[in-house]
Amino acid sequence: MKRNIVALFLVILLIISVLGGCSQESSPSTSSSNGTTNNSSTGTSSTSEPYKVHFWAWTNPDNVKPLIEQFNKDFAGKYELVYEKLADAETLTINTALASGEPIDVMTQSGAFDTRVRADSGQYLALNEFFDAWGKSYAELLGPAAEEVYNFDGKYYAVPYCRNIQVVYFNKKMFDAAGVPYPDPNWTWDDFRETAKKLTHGEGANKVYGVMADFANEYWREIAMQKLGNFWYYNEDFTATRFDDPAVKESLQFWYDMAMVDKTCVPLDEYKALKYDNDTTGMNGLYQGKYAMLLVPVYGSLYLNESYGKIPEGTDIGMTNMPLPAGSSKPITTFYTSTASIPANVKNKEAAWTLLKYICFDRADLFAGPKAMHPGYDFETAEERRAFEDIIFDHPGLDKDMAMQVMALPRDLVCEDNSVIQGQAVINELIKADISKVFNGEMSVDDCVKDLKSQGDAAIAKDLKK
Amino acid sequence: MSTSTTVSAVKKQQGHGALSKHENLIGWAFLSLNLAGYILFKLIPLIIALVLSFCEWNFVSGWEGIRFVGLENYGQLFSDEVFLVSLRNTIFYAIATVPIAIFIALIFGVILNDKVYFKSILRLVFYLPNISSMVAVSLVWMFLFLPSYGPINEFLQTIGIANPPRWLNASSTSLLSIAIVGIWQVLGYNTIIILAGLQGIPESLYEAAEMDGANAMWKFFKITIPSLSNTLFFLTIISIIRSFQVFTPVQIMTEGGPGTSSSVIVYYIYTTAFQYNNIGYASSMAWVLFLMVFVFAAARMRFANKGD
Repeated sequence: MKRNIVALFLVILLIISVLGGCSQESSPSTSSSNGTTNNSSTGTSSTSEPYKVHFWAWTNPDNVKPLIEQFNKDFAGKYELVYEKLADAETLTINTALASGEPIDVMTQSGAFDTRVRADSGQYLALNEFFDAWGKSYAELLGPAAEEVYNFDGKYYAVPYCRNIQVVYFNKKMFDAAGVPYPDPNWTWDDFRETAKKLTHGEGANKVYGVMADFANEYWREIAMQKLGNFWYYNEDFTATRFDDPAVKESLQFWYDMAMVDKTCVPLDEYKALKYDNDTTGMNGLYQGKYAMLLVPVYGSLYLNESYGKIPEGTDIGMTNMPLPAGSSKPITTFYTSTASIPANVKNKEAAWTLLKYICFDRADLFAGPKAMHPGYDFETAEERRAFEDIIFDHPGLDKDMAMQVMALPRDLVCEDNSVIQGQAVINELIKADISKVFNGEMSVDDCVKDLKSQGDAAIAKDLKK
Repeated sequence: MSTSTTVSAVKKQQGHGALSKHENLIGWAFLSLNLAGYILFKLIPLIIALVLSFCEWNFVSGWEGIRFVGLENYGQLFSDEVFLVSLRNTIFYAIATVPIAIFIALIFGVILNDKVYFKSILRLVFYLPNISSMVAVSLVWMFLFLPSYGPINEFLQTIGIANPPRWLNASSTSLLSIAIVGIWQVLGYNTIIILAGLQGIPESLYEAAEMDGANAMWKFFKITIPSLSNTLFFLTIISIIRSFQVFTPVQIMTEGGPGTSSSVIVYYIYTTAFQYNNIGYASSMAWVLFLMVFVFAAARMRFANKGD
């Protein structure tokens, strides 16, 4: 008898679990990051309740609080912002969230390739109608570099909410101790290399390097990007690669010489083993004197804040521009973005656009600003720039005046984001494989660029044939 | 047999039949939770993956984005250099880790089964890697393998090896380094299983052999090894299946590099499916892996049935 009861109980439990699981989607309840449960969140409410606008991003909820409070104040009675924290910005995380059926009004993302795939798959709403209604041009607001990347056959599906501008942070005390003058913002790559040599000393675990940079993934292509511009490895009509362009070899050869000949930058094995790819660890190494210069986007200075670890007394970090290829007349700076999009199946377009515009344009100071990122748009006045950078560069141990002076200089911008589909998946993997071999001394620079050219062209041709 | 006896026997049989049916139902009810879980989370995804392996699909496009391509994905597999390298590496990893991990575990098992001090503590120490987070463990090993001043190379240099290996940073040794970590991690599990097998061998066999003048080696090869054959077979099959599924150390320590020297099938499936959204092609790779694992799983089941 007892067995019968247990068996019956198990069957009932199973039925309840299955039915409960299946009915999740129809339930309008969602759990927000602050742990509260929000009911009636979708659709236009017939009551006087404000419409709940769901914003999905991977930013720490504490950093979004001022934005949420201000938005809810500005739109009191009309909209209420509900923040949903993504675990990270990985492709899988965002794709899963988009496919989950959860209410999403604005989704953030990094990676133009993923954005393009999602847009081509019909996941996102084209935003042209909103820009038209606003009477603003995407290109004029966000600059030609971002416009070129995010213009998918005349449609815009994503708006950059930040510009991660590449710069060089340096430990001023280490420069002083070595008697090396601080870098001029218009310095060249040759100046950079010589400076690194002067600042490198010691052996083994006690070796102090001139430079720390993720050169195997990012910076090895920096000179090529500066010289070739947007979509640096595609030819003009995107039918072939241009890895055979002398700028690509120059770029790779430069970093090969730094890493393998001069040995003035943290080698690849140490970079990986000591987890310097972690932003906090990266900045920590700079102020602890493990290396004198750090190549990162502007937001690197965020990690000087006490919440990421206490910095030593007297820390003095300077900032300058990324070096220039010889002969350039003014700074050429590369940047990458993260963007915001509206899902195609959004319930309330107006509310979604209001929120997107709010985080990207109206109050970028409350979203990009606290993360030490520039907004995605161009500043209209010098005052506006100063006010925004006053937030970005307000960190202990950072020479704020120097940083603001450097950023105020005129510059050309090149967008690192790549939204071209054909060949990209294979080429990115190929680059990762070949470049790792070069910096482990298993492949020459010449062989690498040759291989990238032949296999890259084949990958593009194959995709175009489809 | 009288008519009344026959009727009573039939009635009794009917009663047994009803009872048996009733017991069957109870059995199914007890199984239902597990069965539902198996069907929902294993069988259905397996079938979906099989269907998708004949399609081109990225899952952000929704079900309507599926395009049937027939055997194209399977055809592409065998001209895909990275897949072939990953397949070769997976097989190499299995060959490198399985016999060595079992052999070392056998030695440890025999030692721990004998009269040694701190037996319980040693068993725990050996088993610890198996329950440690592979992510954390991989990070520690990355530092140990550091070519410039990692502890392993520092040690090798102190014993006179002037040019020690570059471990994770050379194509020739990257997979080997991952295999070393794999062996280290699985050693505790293998040792515990072998210990259990050793404890099932009757002491009388050893006593009889001793009376016949057998030495330790003879006892090991003529009693211990044959008595452990079932255990060793089980371990071999389970280890091969586990080694085919290696992923975490590759993802954390090398990301398949340098080049593609340490790429394995599961890692390639992951990047194809979840970084580049090519679910159809990744499903075809997953099915090839499934068939490889299935062969060994079937062998184990067949052997287990024979044992019964």
